[in-house]
Amino acid sequence: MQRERLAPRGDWQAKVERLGMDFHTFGGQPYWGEAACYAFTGAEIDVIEAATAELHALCLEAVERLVNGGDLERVAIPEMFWHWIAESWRRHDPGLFGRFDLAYDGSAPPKMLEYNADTPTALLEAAVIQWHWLEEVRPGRDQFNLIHERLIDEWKAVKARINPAWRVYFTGVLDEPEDLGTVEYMRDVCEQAGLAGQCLDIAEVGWDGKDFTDLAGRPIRVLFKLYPWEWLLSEDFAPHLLVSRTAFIEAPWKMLLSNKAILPILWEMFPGHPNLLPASFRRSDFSGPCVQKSVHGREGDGVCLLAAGDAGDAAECIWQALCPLPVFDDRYAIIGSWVIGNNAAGIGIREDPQPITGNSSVFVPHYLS
Amino acid sequence: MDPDRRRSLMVNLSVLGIASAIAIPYLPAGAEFRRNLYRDRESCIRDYSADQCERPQNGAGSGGGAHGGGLWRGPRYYSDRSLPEARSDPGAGRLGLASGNETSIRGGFGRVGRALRAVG
Repeated sequence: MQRERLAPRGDWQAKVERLGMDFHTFGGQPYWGEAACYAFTGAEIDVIEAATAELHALCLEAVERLVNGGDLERVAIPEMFWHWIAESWRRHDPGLFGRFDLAYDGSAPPKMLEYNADTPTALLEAAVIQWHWLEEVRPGRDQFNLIHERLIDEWKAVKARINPAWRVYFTGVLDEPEDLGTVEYMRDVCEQAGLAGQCLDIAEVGWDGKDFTDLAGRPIRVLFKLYPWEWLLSEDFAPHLLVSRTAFIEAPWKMLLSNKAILPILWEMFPGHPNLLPASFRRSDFSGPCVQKSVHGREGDGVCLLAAGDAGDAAECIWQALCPLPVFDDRYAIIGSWVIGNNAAGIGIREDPQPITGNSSVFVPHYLS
Repeated sequence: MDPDRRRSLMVNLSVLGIASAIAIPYLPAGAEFRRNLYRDRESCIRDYSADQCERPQNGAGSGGGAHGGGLWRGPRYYSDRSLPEARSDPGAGRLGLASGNETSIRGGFGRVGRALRAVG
């Protein structure tokens, strides 16, 4: 695993915009960063792929245990939704995608920092933008990136489960360019799988007393939502979730995995696993420095590094052993390892001068050397 | 598939590029909307216009109103006509020829997302 510096393409902004990425710059700084790339060996990719598959399997075991145990209080989910979540697991409602954040330096086993299993971001960048970058900048080379074709396969599997005449709706906070880009990309792959798709903003979803509806009053039978489950459960329409006929993607059971409480539960179930970090519901289990994570935090929000004497907060947090990200050219690098369906499908890399990855951390492409 | 290949063979996109054309209307939280229902297309057109009237598809039109599917439907408008947003919607119809209406509520999702985005 090596970081290579290189000259960006002169018209890279126009090129990524043509692929639907008009959120390539935040605050005047590039978010899509092609002034560098990472080179991996095939053996390193094999390690990441195997760790991702293994971690996903562990996570599914954890869901099974949580659902069968019937106690979802540990993951801070209101009791009124427990049965509904369990039913979605027992029905095998589809989980389309997720992204593990891994600490990996090319030598030690990858460590799971968290699993963004509900609303993972940086999808378009990983699946499309870096693929086209590779075609132009490293032609003839390979990349660990089967995300696009695996997504189409998964949408075909969804099509086989539903009435293929149903329209699939895609929702999120669509006046946010990044969210809109991701939602539009997901609609694109859905349509390539042979289903009709339509976008609507999350606030435009209606309720007519029986069904969630679109702006024309049509029932929404399938809804892809780039909007976290924990937000939906706290909003006015939440009680309607329990009685609606809408099939949600991601499925309700995925909220058990996107929740940071899954980290100590995994450690309880698989202590000492080489791809897991020690994690606990108690700060006192760590005598030295550790990382505090808000149970429902996202994109670095609610994450803080605690020194040995720091007490931390008590409310809805978990604590995880400190595992510093590898540093390349003064930048901390994190691997986002994608799961599509139940398969490891590719990676994206984010860099930041700070040790905590946030939503403005730069996305950097990769290739297989 | 070539077992050694680690990347997608092709990454073609079909619908991207139109995303920026989507306009997000402001919807007050809990906003109730109404659509008038008509026994025939002519009545609907007299209240609105031809391009504002539609026959619901199977399975639609089953809302909170007294009448179900099979009826012609006018455009969506705010139930509360005193709202500022109601000034620019199609309204309740010119002549009041509707045989019923259906209601839906919007804005019940999205509050947290917009609040967090606003401060983030």
